[in-house]
Amino acid sequence: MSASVTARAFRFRRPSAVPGFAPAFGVAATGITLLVLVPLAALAFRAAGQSWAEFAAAAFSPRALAAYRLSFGASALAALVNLVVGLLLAWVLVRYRFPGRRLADALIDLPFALPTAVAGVALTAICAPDGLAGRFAAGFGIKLAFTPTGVFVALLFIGLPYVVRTVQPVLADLEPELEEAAALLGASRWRAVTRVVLPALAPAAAAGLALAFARAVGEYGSVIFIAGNMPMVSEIAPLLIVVQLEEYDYGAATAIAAVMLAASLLLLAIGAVLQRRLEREEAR
Amino acid sequence: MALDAAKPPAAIRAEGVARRFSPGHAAALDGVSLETRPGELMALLGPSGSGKTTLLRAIAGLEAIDSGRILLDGEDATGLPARRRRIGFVFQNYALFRHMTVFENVAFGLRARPRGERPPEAEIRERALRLLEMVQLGGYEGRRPAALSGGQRQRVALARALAIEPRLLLLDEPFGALDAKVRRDLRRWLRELHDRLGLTTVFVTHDQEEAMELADRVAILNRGRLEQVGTPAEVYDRPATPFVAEFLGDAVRVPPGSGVLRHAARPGGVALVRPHDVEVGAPGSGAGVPATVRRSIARGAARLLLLELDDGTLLEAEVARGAGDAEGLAPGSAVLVGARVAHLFPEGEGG
Amino acid sequence: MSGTTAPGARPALRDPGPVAAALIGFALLWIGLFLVLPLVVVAQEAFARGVPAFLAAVRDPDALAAIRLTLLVAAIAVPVNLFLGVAAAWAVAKHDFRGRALLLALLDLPISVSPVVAGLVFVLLFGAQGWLGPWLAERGVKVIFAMPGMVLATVFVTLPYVARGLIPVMRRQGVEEEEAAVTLGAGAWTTLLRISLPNAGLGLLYGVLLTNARAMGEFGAVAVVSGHIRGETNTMPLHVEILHNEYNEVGAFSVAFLLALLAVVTLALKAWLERRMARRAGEGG
Repeated sequence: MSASVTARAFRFRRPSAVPGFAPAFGVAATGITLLVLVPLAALAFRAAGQSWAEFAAAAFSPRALAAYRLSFGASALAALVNLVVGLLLAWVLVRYRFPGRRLADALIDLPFALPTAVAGVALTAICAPDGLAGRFAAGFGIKLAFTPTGVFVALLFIGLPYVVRTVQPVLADLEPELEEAAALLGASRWRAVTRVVLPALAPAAAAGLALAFARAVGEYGSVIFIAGNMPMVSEIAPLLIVVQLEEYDYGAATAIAAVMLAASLLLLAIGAVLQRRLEREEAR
Repeated sequence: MALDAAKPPAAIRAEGVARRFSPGHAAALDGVSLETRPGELMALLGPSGSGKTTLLRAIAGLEAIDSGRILLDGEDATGLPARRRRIGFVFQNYALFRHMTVFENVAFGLRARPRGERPPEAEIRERALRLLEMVQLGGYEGRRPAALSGGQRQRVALARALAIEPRLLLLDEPFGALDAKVRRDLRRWLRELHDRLGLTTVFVTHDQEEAMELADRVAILNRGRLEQVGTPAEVYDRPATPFVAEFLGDAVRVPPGSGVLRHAARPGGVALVRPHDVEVGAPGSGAGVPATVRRSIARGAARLLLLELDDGTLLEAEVARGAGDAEGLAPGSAVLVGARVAHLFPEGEGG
Repeated sequence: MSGTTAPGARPALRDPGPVAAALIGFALLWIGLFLVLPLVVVAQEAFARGVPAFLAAVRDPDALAAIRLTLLVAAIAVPVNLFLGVAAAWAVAKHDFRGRALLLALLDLPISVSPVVAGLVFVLLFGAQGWLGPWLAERGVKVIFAMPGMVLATVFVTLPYVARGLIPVMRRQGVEEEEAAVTLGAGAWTTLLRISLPNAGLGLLYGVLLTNARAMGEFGAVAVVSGHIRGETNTMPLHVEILHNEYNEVGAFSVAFLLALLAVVTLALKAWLERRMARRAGEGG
């Protein structure tokens, strides 16, 4: 890259001495366009090609609405629980030393690495009436498998790593001096943690939360085994799409997929905005 | 022009180099023109933000410039990418390749050449080892950067830069990250190395003592402008601007009409006086204006007196240790002071 | 590494004993329940009827075909995403340009899109009624309900992982070594291959490992695109589903066991790599 690329009024790229930008960017942009943008455009076009009446009938039918309620509701709840548990797990893994810590830390990534179908059948076996958890819950009169509760449990598994992994590095790099200053100023440990440490972790936690939520909403493999898959009751939105496809109702499938895609994008955007807002507050 | 043709072109010639990092912010470099003399060791000296590192990086091709030209050996290199400039560059934090051994670091530049220009591996090996010997790191070739001290890493960075037989050498705050003692030793060593190699070398520093001790000529920058270029003696004894006078040698401003000055400065002008140019005598000893000693500080081989003139001006005077112990110079004493040398400037320029 | 506060090192940061114990206990319980238990159950169910039944299930021709197909899909998807991911990571991490945030967001998009939607978009593109459907049918090229479609869907879904592993590591390392390489005369390829990538070693390897694990384990997207044709377009995860629906639990969990094994090996490799890198960085200092 020529060093004489002067900093004119309009610049695409800040000139730097590191070479190879053009080919790297070219490859990345081409790949992403072909693999991501074009297919998604196909979806958008197909959805837009329908009349509004058609679209609304499929996307907002009672069955679809029930599916959204389940998918979004269970995902939101699971994401919130994973936020709290994730912060806790990150804290324990970063701040404490105990036998098995390294093993526990490595295991956190399991939901990333384990195929969703395997998780699905395993969780079903555990939550089935004759499974470990199933029997335990039955003692409280709760049915786990084949109910929305089962969906919730599966989504808890899926979202576990997200908050932990985004928070861990931030927590590990946090200056100890901050907490020491708080202690010297007379703060209790609880106060120091909630007023000094947690706010510093907020942007990372928000990012992890948004990711966990977005992931859970679209989750398929780990959920369909444990959910009852009964329309209007325990049918998740992605399953509804598959059902429509199997009935060759491309229009309806596209409509619901478009709604889900819009929701994913919205969640990502909210997550990014939230993260940026929190970062700005942190930087004071 | 014919006479100039007989002289070899300057290793580096910067003409009106300007660079602004973002619109609305101050310019990092504001029309700097500079030329090196063959084989000299030049220091770019200035406070942080003065543009010295930006200028160095621009010469190396690591920074783009908005306007101006950079000529290397007489040829316009402004558009030349960094990898073709054949300039040896030592980074402030050394930028050693952390996953390579010392040997691999030094050999890198030679091995990175295209097949046609690359010397045979045996020769690369021999050259790299010889360079390591030269920087007194013989036997270290198998180590990794993480296992070296700061001073050792710096020498590896130097050997690595020299391996490609550069036409000139640039060093960015070469001693910044080191302890004072290591710094002093390395300074001497760098000067010896430079004298041996004869390579035009430019180094950036904010430490005036370092610049004055090491360099053949010093270029002083402030806020993106070149204030003065000259030998250490020239810039110290005949500062061209108030900034240079204040930056080198702890000068203090006195009001233009003050009696301390032998020649009154023009009203509105700036007068600067250095501590060791101030003469202190007992009352009634002769020339000078009355002042009171406010504090007496022992500083190494000398003694620093903080003096207050009748009009409230505060002045610093440096006297020999022995002289200062005399009773007449204890805090509270009345003395007579006069400036043997003062630096006067016409306008009230900022520092 | 200012943060890792070993107990006792910084008294002001110590949490009261009982609190710490309770937190650790809860964490271990949660991890045990949600992470360890599923693995145990998979193993238990796979071998519920002993080793011979497990082996028979795994050696079944349909299962073997599924294994072969899974490996093949991964063998294509991983290198493609490696190439794309390295290019994207290098552009994003070592340079600054307009639209950098957009590129990053687009890279992350496949993670937040439901795998079913991912499969659907390729059906819309290449299916019989899709954009390119008729064009492909004329040429007798089958993408949907055939391997090419499955590869495409898998590439889409696993796109982000290499870049996500690389980018934070590369950013943290800055560009100084790359600049040094340039002053020594190195070109783009040399700088990338001999400086940037080796330095980002851990990030790269983990990205590849994760991409591989997810490529082999992808379910939703591939389910939509494949048509579930046994012996032909069944990957291992799809095969698990089929066997489960036929109430062949031992069969399903046997295949699941292999996949779980893959996941565990992936995690173990990652942990081992991290330890080596930490040790390497710590020596000398």
